Amino acid sequence: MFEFSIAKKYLLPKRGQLPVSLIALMSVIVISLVVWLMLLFLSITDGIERGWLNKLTALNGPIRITPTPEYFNSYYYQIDTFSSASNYSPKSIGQKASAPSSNPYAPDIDMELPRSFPQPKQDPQGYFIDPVKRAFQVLDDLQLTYQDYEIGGAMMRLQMLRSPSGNLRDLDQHFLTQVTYVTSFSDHNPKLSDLLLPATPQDVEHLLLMSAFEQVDSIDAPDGIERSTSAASSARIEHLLRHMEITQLKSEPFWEIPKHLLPSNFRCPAQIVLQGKRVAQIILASETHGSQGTLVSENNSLFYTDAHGSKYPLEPSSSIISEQSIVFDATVNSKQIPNRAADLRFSLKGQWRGLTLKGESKLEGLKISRATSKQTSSTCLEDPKGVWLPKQFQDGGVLVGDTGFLLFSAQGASSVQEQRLPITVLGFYDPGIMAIGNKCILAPSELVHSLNLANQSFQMDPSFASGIQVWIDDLSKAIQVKSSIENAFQKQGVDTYWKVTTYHDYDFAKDLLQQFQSDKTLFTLIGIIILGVACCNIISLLVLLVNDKKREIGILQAMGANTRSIACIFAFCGAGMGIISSLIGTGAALLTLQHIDAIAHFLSFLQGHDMFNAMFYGKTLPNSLSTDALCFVLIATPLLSLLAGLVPALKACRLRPSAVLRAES
Amino acid sequence: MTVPILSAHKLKKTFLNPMAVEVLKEVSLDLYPGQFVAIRGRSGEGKSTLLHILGTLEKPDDGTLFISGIDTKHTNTSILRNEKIGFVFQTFNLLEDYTVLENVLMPARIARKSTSSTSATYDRAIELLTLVGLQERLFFPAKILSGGEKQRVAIARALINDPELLLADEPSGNLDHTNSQIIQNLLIDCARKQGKTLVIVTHDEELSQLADHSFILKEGQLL
Repeated sequence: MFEFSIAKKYLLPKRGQLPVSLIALMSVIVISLVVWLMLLFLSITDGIERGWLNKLTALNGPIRITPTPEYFNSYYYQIDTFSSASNYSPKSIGQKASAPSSNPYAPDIDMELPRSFPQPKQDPQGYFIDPVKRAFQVLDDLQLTYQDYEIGGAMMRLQMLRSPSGNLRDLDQHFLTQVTYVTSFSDHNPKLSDLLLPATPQDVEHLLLMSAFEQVDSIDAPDGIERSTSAASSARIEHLLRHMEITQLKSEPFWEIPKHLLPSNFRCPAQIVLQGKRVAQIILASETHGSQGTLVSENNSLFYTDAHGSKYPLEPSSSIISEQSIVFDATVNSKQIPNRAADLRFSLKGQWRGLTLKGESKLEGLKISRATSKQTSSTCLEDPKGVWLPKQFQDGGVLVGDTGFLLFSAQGASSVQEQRLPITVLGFYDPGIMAIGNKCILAPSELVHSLNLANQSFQMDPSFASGIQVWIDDLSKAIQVKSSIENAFQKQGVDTYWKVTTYHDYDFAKDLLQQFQSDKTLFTLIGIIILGVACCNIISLLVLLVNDKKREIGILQAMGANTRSIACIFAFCGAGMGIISSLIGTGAALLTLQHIDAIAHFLSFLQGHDMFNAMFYGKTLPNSLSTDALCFVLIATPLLSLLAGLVPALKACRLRPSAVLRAES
Repeated sequence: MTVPILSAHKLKKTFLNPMAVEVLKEVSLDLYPGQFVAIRGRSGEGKSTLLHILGTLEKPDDGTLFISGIDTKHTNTSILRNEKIGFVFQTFNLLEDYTVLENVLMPARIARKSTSSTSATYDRAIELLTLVGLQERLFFPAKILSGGEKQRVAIARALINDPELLLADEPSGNLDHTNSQIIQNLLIDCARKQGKTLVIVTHDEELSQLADHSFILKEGQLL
């Protein structure tokens, strides 16, 4: 296309066309800047929105299927209270799914049903409709990840035993009481591993401390603390070591270094503390002092030489103290599990001012500085009393291993009585953003169901209290998946029993998502306006170019170029500038996103405080380019530039070749 | 009877700005294949205007113009200019930023013909540039050529699409006497060899004597 090659020639800067080249450069810079800014803003907003969406849908699946009032009023749900096979109590969704029979009522054994009792619902083939099993079947057929859940409420009371000195005789006792929601633990949740926080070294130390105690029924009084038997303590420590790997220990300052950890031959600067003529202590100071001598180890004998060369041999009772903390790589000796955590033995290897300290030592005097959890979501369910608390509790001083109760009122034979379900804190999780997030504890489903069955003090909306959560990989397909589920439910005749909602409908998410959408729309509009203004530069440039190239236009027309071709040349110029600017802007945006953290740090440094609040933006700003934004910019910019190019193109078309050639001759 | 390549009937043109001047008053002209016609006249008599009208660069106020039997009023004149007419201007009117070869190939590119180095059009461009003696200047930018060389390029360019009609507006007007002679001879020679109808607008009486027919444009009429 000759139009394209001419447009290309016009766009390339040439000598003698300084004004045109300058305006072209300015236009490209301005449009590139707008493209850069739009891409950056939309990508970051998109990333933050995705981050929030992930948080929103991490604990609550992006699709929730909740029972409707028709479900609770149905024969299917109510029949359990009349059925001995169901122990005369309503079943949770999970229990219904695993129940051997959809209709547990046995007319010959169970009491007669009242006249007003709902009738069982059957499909046209005469089969009894089981809403739960059919719903689960639909979800299986659609190959979705799902799990039923139940929510209850109770007063949580935790006993927090602390020993600031690490000594069991020096024990403090605190209590924490809070009203909480109790949600069943969703081990099918694919995002669960991201939600669960790893145990901290403090948690592991606390678990080791707690291995010496039993959980007792009365925790209100100090005498509620009961020491475990040696065997029980040992078993607890062994259990803990099966789930935790302690990999690093750290000594406290002024720790007495066991002599067998020292290498056989060494010399190191040290200070001496004498008791008469006897060496009481050798202090390995952290800094070199002028007055200090040297600790020497030669031929298995340890002695100190002072600055004047006098020798002081160390006695077995002389202690060697490290002024500074020493960090050791540690491996636990799991062959011999003691009944006291402090007696746990570790193989240690550490460095102190060039000396390698190596050997076996007890945990006593050392702190755990690194431990990794071997726990998986399935091991989380091993303990029927184990609960996971929101991370806010961790900030409040709760540690893994703390024990307590869920308190609630239950109807007894003659009165309402306080009931307790014992719990143990297994860990903490990130609740993301959820209105009840920081009050919601995760517990085994059996625990939540027993709580809900008996609980008189905490009545919840039944449609909120139970349901099925569905997880999908691509959140943008939530609406599509919802429709598929609804259609399949309709085919199975269970659509009236279930309400399918997506995260768009969640009360706690709706406002936030709408706000994100509004922000994006607003900025896109502003961006288009700025882009439009920037494209006006293209109009001025091309008008100038048309004036500059009048003669060439006349020549081309004389050679037979039609008005459409002439218009195309200038439209291509406009679109070409748009494309070049888009590419430059996109490249700049990619580069900026790659270094977004460094830029954020720099901006924070300039401002004197955090530029981007971690609460809202996350620990790091999102750094991936938004595909939607890229598509938008790569389409909108050349299109707007093309439109801008059309104005001068029309002007060029109107030129009369005869007049131009005559004027130029 | 042979059909005229160009048939103009009662062409009229009046310029209104700054005052009404009737440049052409009912000019009629028929040109046949292979004819060489010279149009002379004083400056400002409207010779160039007549040539532009005959070349469809400008529309007459009245009258009809047929080129190769096609009424120019009812057709896309850009196609006619591209396929049927070749222009040679006094001021050369080359695309200065392009090479000699690109200038010659431009009308063919406008006609959407392939101009790759293996195409017939490319070969024809080389042939024409050899004919005008510029085979050594193929890739020279047009702007560095001398006046005579530029006009040779213009002649080659006018012939690239093999038009039936060549319109030359004082082709040697900007050249010295020697170059002027060379260009005139070259133009006439090329037109004759390739059987083109040639219309030259000129002041030069000697040149007009070489033509098959010579007209004088005076007071808007062709005598």
